[in-house]
Amino acid sequence: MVDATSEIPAAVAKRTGEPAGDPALRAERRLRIPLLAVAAGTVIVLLSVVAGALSWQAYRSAQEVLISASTETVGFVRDSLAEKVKRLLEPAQTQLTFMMESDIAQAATLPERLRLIPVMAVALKNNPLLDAVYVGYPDGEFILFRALPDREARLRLSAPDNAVFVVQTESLAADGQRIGEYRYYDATNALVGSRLDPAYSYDPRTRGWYNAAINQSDAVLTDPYVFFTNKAVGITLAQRTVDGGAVVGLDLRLKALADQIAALRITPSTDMALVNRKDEVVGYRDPDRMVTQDRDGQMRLTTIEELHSDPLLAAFHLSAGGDSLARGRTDIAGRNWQLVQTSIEVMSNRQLKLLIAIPNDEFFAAARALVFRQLVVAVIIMGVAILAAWWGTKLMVRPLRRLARETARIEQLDFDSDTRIGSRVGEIDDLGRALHRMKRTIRKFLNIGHALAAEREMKALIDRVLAETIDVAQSDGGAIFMLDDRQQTIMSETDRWMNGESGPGLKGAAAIPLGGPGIIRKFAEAVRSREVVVAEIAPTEAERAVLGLGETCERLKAERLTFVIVPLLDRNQVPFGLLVLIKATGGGEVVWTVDERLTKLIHAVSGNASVAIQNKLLLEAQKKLIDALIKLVAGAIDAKSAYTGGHCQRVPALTRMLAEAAVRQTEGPYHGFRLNDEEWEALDIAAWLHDCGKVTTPEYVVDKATKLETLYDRIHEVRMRFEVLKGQAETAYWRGLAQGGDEAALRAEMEAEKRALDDDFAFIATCNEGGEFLEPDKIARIKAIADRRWTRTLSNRLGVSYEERKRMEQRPEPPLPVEEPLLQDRYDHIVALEARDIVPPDNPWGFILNAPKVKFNHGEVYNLCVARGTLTDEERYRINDHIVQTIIMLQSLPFPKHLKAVPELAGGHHEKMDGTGYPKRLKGGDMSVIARMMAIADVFEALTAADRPYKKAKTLSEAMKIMGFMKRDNHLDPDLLDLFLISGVWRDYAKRFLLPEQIDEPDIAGILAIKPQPVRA
Amino acid sequence: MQVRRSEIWRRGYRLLGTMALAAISGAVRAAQAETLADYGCEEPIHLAFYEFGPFYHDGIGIDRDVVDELAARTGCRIETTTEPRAQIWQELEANTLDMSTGGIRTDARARFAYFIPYFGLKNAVVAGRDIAPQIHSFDDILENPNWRIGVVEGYLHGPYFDYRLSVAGARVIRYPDQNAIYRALQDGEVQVIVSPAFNYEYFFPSEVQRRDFALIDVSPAPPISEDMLFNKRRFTPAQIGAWSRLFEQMRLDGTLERIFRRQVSPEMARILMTY
Repeated sequence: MVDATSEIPAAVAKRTGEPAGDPALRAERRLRIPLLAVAAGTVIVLLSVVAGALSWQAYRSAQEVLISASTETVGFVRDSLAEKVKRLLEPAQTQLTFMMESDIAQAATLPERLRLIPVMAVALKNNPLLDAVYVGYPDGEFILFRALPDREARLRLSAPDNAVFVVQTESLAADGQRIGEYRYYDATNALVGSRLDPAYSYDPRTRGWYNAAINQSDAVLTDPYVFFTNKAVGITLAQRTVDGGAVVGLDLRLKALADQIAALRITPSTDMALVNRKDEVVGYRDPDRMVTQDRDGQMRLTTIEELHSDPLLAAFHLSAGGDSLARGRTDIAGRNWQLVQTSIEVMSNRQLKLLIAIPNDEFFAAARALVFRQLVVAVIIMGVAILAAWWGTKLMVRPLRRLARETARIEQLDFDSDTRIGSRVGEIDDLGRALHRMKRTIRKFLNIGHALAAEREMKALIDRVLAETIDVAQSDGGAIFMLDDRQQTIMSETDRWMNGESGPGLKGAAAIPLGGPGIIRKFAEAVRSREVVVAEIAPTEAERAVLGLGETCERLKAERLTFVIVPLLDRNQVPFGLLVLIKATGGGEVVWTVDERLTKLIHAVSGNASVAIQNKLLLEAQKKLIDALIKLVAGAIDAKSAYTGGHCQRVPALTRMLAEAAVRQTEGPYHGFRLNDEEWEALDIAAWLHDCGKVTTPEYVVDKATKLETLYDRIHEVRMRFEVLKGQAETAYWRGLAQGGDEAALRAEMEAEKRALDDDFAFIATCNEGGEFLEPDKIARIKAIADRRWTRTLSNRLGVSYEERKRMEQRPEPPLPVEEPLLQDRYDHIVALEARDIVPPDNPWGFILNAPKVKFNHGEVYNLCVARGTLTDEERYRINDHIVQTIIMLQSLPFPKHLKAVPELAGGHHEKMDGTGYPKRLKGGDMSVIARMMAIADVFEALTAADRPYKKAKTLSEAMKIMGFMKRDNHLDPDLLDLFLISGVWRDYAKRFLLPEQIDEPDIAGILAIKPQPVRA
Repeated sequence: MQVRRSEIWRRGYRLLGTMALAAISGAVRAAQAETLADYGCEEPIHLAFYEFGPFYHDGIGIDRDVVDELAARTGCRIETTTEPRAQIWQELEANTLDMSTGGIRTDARARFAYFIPYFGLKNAVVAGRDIAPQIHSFDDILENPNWRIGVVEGYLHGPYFDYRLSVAGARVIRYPDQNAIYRALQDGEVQVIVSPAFNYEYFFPSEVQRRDFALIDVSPAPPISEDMLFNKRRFTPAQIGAWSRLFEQMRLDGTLERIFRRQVSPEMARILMTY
C-alpha cells in the first residue's frame, strides 16, 4: 500500500512532465543506466579485476618461477662452464697423455721432430681451444706447434697466406748457437715457408711449466695467464714424458670460455665473469677486457676491481657463506640486478668463482611478457565477453523493454494486444509469462467488472459471473446457488459447463436443504465458515442426483470431482449464495491443484461477483420497491375514487400493448420503432403515474356526481328548504284559517303551493343529477325557483369551520329571522384562489392555462345551472389540473437519467394533435410517441371502463366511434390510432379487461378511413 | 712469386741473424768453414746411388741432380757410387757408407740412419690392359690366384701394399730392381707389378707400351715420404738440422721441383712434391 501511494506522485509527474520535486524521481533520473551498460560495465570491471589479479598473481608466480628457474639457470651456467672447462681440459689431457707416451722425447733431430707435423696438425685442428702444443727438451731445444686459425694470427707470425699452422723451433746449431725458426705449413701439411728469427729465443728450461712438470710425473696446470705469443689469456697444461726426456705442454686458450660465457648469457645484459683465487678475471665475455697492460708494459690479467663492472663487483662481494650458491640484489644507477655467486671446480680442487649479474628488467622480461600476453588474452576475452554480455544482455533487454512497454500499457489499462513476450532467458520468459497472465487476469477482471456493470439482468449477470469465474479458474464447470433467507436451503440460480454448455441437472432443481450429507455438508461448511472450501469427492449416485451431475459426470468420464465452494457474501459478510466450481479429475489423469494462488483468484473474482450480485439484488429490490410504490400510488389514486376505477392500472397495460405493437412493426410509420429496457421502464413508470396528480384533486370534485355535491350532496339541504317551505305553506293555511280565511281557498292555495314546491324540487333534483343538457328555459326556471323565499331564524355562522366562518365574516350577519332565497349564490360560496394555486403564464413547465378567477364557486344556483354534467368551470379546471399536478409532481422527483422523460410521457396524454389540449397545448409533433400512445390508451380506457359510477360502460363500437371523431378532430394521433386498430391491440385489451357485453365488432375499416380534418393554422 | 718473396725475406733474416751472431760472439767466421762444419763434411761424403728409374739410371737422374745441388750449396765433396739397394742398407748399418738416396724410415733403420724427407712416393700397380678393368683395388688382385705379382726385393711400398703383399705368399715374385719387374711384366712372368707411379712413365715412355699396360692407382694412402739417408755415426743432430734446412730451402725455392720436372712429367713431379 505504501509502495502504491508513494509511486503515484512520481507517475503523475512523469505523465504531466512537471519538473519533479520528488527526490525519488530525481534519483531515478540520475541513476538511470541502461542494462547493456551495466552488463558491459560489470563484465569489464569483473574481468579487469580478475585479469588484473590473475596477471599480478601470474607475474608474481612467474617472478618466483624465474627466480627459482634462475637458480637452475645459474646451475646450468655453472655446469656448462664447468663442462666447458672439462671439455677444455679433457681432450688436452688426452692429447697430452698420447704425447707423453710417444717417442717425441727421443726425436733428437729436427726432421724427426717435424715428422710430428701430421699428428700435431690434426690435434690443433681438432681442438680449437688448443693454442699450441710444444715440447721442451733438457738441452734447451724446443718445438712448438701452433695453429694459424685466422689472418690476424698469420700476420702476427709473418706467415704466408696459405699457412694454417706454424712450427716454432729452438734448436742448437753444430756450434751450440741457438737457432730460432718458424716453419709454415699449409692444409696439406706441405711446407710453404720458413724463417729464421734470431730474436726468437725461448729456453723452456727457464719456464715455470717446464720446471714444474719435469720434476713430477703428474700433469701441471698453471693459473690462467696472458700468453706471451699472442697476448691471449690461457692456461698451460704440462707433463713430463714417460721416459722423462722432455716436457710436453699444451697452451689452452680461455677465449673459448669467454665465448661460452658470452653464449651462456641469460639475458642480453647479463654480465658474467669467472674469477680466480687471485681475484683475476679469467673468463669474461669481452676477452680484451681480461687483459691489462702493466706500467712496465707487461700484459697481465685484469682483476675484478679493474673490470669496472659494478654489478659483477657487487656479486663478487656477496658472501657465499658456505653455500655453493649466494644470491643477492643490488640497485645500480637505477637498475635492479639479481646477483649470483657460485664456483666452478676446475681441476684438483682448484676453484673459480662464477659471478653473474642479471638486470631485473630483462630477468623478469619473460614474466612481464607473460603478463602482457595474459593481459592481451584478457583483453581479447574481455572483448569477447563484452560482446557476449552485450548480446546476452540484448537478449534480455529487448524483451525487458517490451515488458516495460507492456507494463506501461497495463498502467494505462490498455489490454488490446494479447502477445506474450517470450525470451530465451528463463527468468525473463517467466516474467513475460507472468505479465501475460497478469494482463489476462486484469483484463479478465476488468472484463468481469465491465460485464457485471453492464449486465442489467440479474440472471444474465449471474450467468456471466459464473462463466468468467469458470474461465479464470479453468474449471470444467460450476454453478451459483442462492441461499434462502434463513440459510437453510440453497437454490441453483445457474450452472455452466465446458464450452459454455448449460448443464442438464442443476437448472431448475429444487431447493436443496443444507443439512444433507456428503458434498452438501461441504456447502454448509462454506456457508458457515464463510471461507473457500475445497473438496475432492467421488460423488455417490445420490449426490449426483441431488446436484443433477449424473450426466455431466458421465460425459466428462469423471470418477472424482473437485469442488471449490466459494461463499458469496454481502456487505455485512453474511452469505447469500454459493459459487461452486467443479473440475472432473477422473482416473487420476487430471489433477486440479487448487493452490493458494487459484484460491485467491477465485476469491477475488467471487468477491467482485458477490458485490455485483448484491448490488444487482439491491437494485432490483429497490426497483421492485419503487414499482410497488408507483403501483401503490396508482392503486391509491384508483382506490381514492371509484369513478376512476382501475384506470391507473389499465392504462399502463394498454400503453405497453400498443408500444409492443409498434415495436413489432416491420413497415409503416412505426417501422424501426424500438424501445430499450430503460425506455420500457420509463414507459411503464409514466403510464403508471400518468394520473398521479389526481392525488391533489379534491375527492368531491373527482367524484362529483351531482351538481350540488361538495363534500356531500347539498340537495338534501335544498330539499329540507323545500320541506320548510311546504311547512310554511301549511302554516299559512292554518294561520289563514285561524284568521278566518276561507278554508277551501286556503287549502287550495296550500295544496297548490305544495304541488308547486314538489314540482320545483323535482325539477331541481333532476337538474342536480346533471344527466341532461340544461336548456336556457330550465336555467330560467332554476333561477325562478331560487327566488322563492324562506325564513331562516338560526344563525348560519354557528358550528361552521374556520374557513367557512372566515368567508362568511366578509359581511356582517343580517338580523334574524332573515328571509333568504331558496337557492342562492352567496359570497361565502366563493373560495378564493390561493397563491399556490396560481400558475403564472411564464411558468417553468410551459403550461398554457385558462385559469378561473376563483378556486371554487359553491354557489347553489351557479352549480345547478351547469349546462352539461355536474362540474363547474372551476371544478373542471381543478379536475384538469391533475395533469398539471402530475407534471409538477413528477418533475420534482429525482428521476435517474434514463427516466428523465417520465414527466413528459406521463403529462402528455391530454394534449391533442392540433395543439388544443392541455396543459401545454402541444401539437402532435411536439409530443413523444409514447405520450401519444398514452393519450390513446387513456381515452380508450376511459371510454370502455366499466367501473365508472357516473356512466355506463361503452361498447367497443361506441368507444371506437368516439375515437374516430377524435381522430377526425385531430385529438388523437391518427397513425397510432390506425396501429391500435390494425394491430388488434384493442381486441387483446378487450379480452383481458372488458365485460363480454361490451365486446362487439367495431367498424375498424370505417374508422381507419376517417381522415383527420386539416388543422387550421 | 710467393716463393721469391720468402726467399728474399729468408735471406734478409739470415743475413741479419748472422750479423747479430757475429756481433754477439765477437768473431767473424768464414762462411765456408762454418758451412762445412755445419754439414759435417770436413771429409768427403761417400754416397751410394741405386738404380731407381728416373731417379737414377745410367749415372743420371733426379738423385744425381739433387746430390749435385747439395754439393753445390754446401760446398761439400760428395763421392758417389752405384750399388744395389740391399747393399746400401748393409753399408749404412756397417758405417761404410755416409749417405744414400730414397729410403723409407723404419724404426730399425732409424737406429743407424737419419732420415730427411726428400720426395713423396706414390706406389701403384701396373697391369696388362686385358686385366686392368678388373682391378680397382689390390684386393681384386689378391682374389685372382692366377695373377702373379712382381715386386723389387727389399722394397717397402708403404703399409697398404706391404700388408697385402705379405698375405699373397708365393704369388709375389721378387726381382732385384725396377728394370727386372718391368721386364717380367712385359715377359708375362708376372701379371701385375707394384711400382712407383713415375716408373710407369719411365719404363713405358712410348704410347704403344702404355696401350698394352695400364697404371692403376689402387692405394688410398697419400704418397709416402721417401727420405735422404744419413749415417748416424757420421752426422750429428745439429748437422742433420742443417741438411734438413737445406732440403727445405731447395723445396721452398723451387729447385727440387725443377729437378723433378727434368725427369718426370709435371703430374708426377707434383706427386713427388707431396710430402
